[in-house]
Amino acid sequence: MNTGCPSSLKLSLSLVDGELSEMELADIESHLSGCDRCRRRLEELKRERRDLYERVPRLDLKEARPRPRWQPALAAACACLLLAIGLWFFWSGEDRPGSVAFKGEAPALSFRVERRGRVFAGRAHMQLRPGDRVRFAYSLGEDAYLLIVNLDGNGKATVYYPSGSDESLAVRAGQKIFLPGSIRLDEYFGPERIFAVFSREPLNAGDVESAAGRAFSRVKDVEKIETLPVEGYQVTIPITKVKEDE
Amino acid sequence: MITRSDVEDLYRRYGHVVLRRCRAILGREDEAEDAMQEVFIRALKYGRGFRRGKKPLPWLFTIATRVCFDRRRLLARNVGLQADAVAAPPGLTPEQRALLLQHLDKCDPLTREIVLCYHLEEMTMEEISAHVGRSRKTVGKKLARFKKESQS
Repeated sequence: MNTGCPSSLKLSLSLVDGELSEMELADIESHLSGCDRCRRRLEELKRERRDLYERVPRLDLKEARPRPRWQPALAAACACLLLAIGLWFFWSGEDRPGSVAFKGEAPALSFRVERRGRVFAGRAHMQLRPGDRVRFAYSLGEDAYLLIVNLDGNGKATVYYPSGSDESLAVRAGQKIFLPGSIRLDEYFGPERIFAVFSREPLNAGDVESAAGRAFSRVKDVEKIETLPVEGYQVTIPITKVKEDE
Repeated sequence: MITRSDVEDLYRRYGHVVLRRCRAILGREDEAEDAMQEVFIRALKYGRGFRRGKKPLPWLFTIATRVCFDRRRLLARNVGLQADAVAAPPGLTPEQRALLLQHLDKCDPLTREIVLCYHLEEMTMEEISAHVGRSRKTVGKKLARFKKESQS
């Protein structure tokens, strides 16, 4: 960068209404008229900004709430209530589909998408395209078995992980561990749901596919299926596949 | 107290700038985008640093730097995720950037911010001084000290 060139931050902020003073904007404008390199930098920053807001127009802030300033008594009461609920579950010993619990933070599934050489983070309700490559990562507090299955809007279930194995595979505890390989998305368009089933024992892949089919035949709407009738802790991510120009 | 609509507004204004900061530290597009989302989630959760009427960018950058350094430690523990997929910022080779960030991991938040602004955002001393709200002399001293300690 030449000494007189504005910083990338300043150029980026020149794209935000009211962020820089009139004088700063005039300085940048006058600099740009004589500096090809900075004009190219600004175009690149504009493109980056446009790409970001096209890809992620809004943030998913559902899980975040401003942290209230709890009174100690209220905090203690909540702790007692949680303990009581925990003990009740522990003693009741009731096992329902999807009710398996694991140590530490709840198991989680995330994914990233590769589209024409660009890689970006995947998120729920994302619009994906045929040909996109999806790679999954999981987070887990203790060792378990994992199987990932996709259910499309016609009720067709496809096992995404493990590929080439009849049953779920053992995975080690850890944070955001990427699974080997990736899935290339097919030409089906419409809503789909990806389910990750974390279990204590290996699950038969065919059984999970059949269970997904049964769940679909009951409601006929993949978007309404939150869990599959199989044993294990389940995480589900709804996605939509759209055509290239949508 | 900060509200959801404040955070949505902050994202619309500064999302791209925060993403650049995350990308510069993490060196991976996918991780940077995750980190950027986390920055705004944390901003909503722990909004005490937010002051209406004051420029929010230094505050957002402080959160972004913390989120990214936490993630770097996490990534370093996961084999196969250490390779940097994004080009290093101008003026720095990928190796220099890796070394810079390694040293910064041990620094106090103010030094981190000053060094990141200087090396990754290409800001001048005056700009950094205005950005962090410290004198130019303090900025210069922090940079010189960082340089000395990272070379020793």
